[in-house]
Amino acid sequence: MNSHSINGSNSDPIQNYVDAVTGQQPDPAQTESAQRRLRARLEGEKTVAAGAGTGWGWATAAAAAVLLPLLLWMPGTNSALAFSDVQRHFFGFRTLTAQLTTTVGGNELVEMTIRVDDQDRTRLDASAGFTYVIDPSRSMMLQLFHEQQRALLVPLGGLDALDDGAGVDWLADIRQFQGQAELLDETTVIRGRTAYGFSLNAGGTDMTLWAAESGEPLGLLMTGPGGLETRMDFEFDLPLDDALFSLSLPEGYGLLAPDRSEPLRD
Amino acid sequence: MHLHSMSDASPPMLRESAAGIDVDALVTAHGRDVFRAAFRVSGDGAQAEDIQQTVFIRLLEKPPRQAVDNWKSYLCAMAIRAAIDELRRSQRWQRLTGSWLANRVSSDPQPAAALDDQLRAQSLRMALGRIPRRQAECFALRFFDGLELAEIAEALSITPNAVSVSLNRAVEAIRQRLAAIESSAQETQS
Repeated sequence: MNSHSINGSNSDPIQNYVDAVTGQQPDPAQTESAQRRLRARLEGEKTVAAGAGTGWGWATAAAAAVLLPLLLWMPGTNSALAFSDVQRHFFGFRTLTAQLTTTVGGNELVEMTIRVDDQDRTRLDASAGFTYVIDPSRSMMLQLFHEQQRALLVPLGGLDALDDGAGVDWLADIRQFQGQAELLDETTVIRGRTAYGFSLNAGGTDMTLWAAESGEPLGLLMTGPGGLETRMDFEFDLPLDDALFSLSLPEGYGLLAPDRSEPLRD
Repeated sequence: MHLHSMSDASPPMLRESAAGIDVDALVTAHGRDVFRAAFRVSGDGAQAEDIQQTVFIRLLEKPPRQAVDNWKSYLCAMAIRAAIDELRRSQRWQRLTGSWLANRVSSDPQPAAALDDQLRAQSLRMALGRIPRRQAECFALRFFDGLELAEIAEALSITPNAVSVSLNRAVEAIRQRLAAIESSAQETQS
């Protein structure tokens, strides 16, 4: 279908990438089944819309207006835990430490420790051997590659910067969440404490946020495509050394130029 | 095809005109195009299907305020916008866990040429998710869907000149992103 080439020339290297994308076509059967399900879905939508005009719609809406807050904020247990009690912990902490584990099909792929301070300075230490230190107030990010003892200092918003919140988008997503958080029936135990689960979709991601009865968040489970699961265990207000958030190079590390080809100094 | 024509004069007219859109006809005429447009950006059939449904549900719930001359371009632009939003969301998590993680998830053995193409397609989608949304939309509509500048301009409600500027910026931004992605991949492999 593509009839335009990059800069009017098929020799532009990007054209190979474009051709790779346009060469991937969905199976015709997949397209047709999508079309059938679309029609079925639209039929369902029209039925719902028609039903809303029969006089029951307002009653349903009125009942929902009364019941929904109860369902959302008053769990069926002895706990009077509200999601807002959980959410507020993500605003008022001195420090937040999260232990992140990502698995696919139960196989562990990556482990990471994330530390955030009260100025939203963030440090990510990955088991794969790299560290990111992000300082929003200075709009800079330091990347450390430990095996090579190399470092990259880049402005946030620059070529290699982490967009949209510099790696702590999950934190922004939870802080900004204003939708429906459904309190789950089951509880679990995290670090010896009974944890109550809230199911929510924040920032386009399905999450289960576990919290103690006091509202203190204990853990977060996010699910993604292909059996991808990311779990975080939270601890609030642990003492953290200010040096963890420093943008200075550790001793012995060489600073790379932004294209990572030329060391600027050793 | 012009299925919907209306005056933007008063809110009551909006609802009447909204009801006047023949969504079934649009599904028949362009449903498959919308699915394929979403697929090209997302590279994922299930996600493309979700986006296809979202586009038409949104059309039912919130129809356009102004007359649409080219429904195919309009609907494909909606699909591409939604797919780019999904790309950007998913990449926020990939950035958190390391972009190399995404490459590890799909590791089925495949012929080398197909694998090269798959990696190229994946890299370009990754780059698309990292440039400004408007630039990404223009790029996908132009080079994936083959739209003319005027068609893109109409679909995005901007001028052809703005489309041209966005496209130039998109190409350069993608060139830089691809270089960075490949450099990062080589570092990971070494």
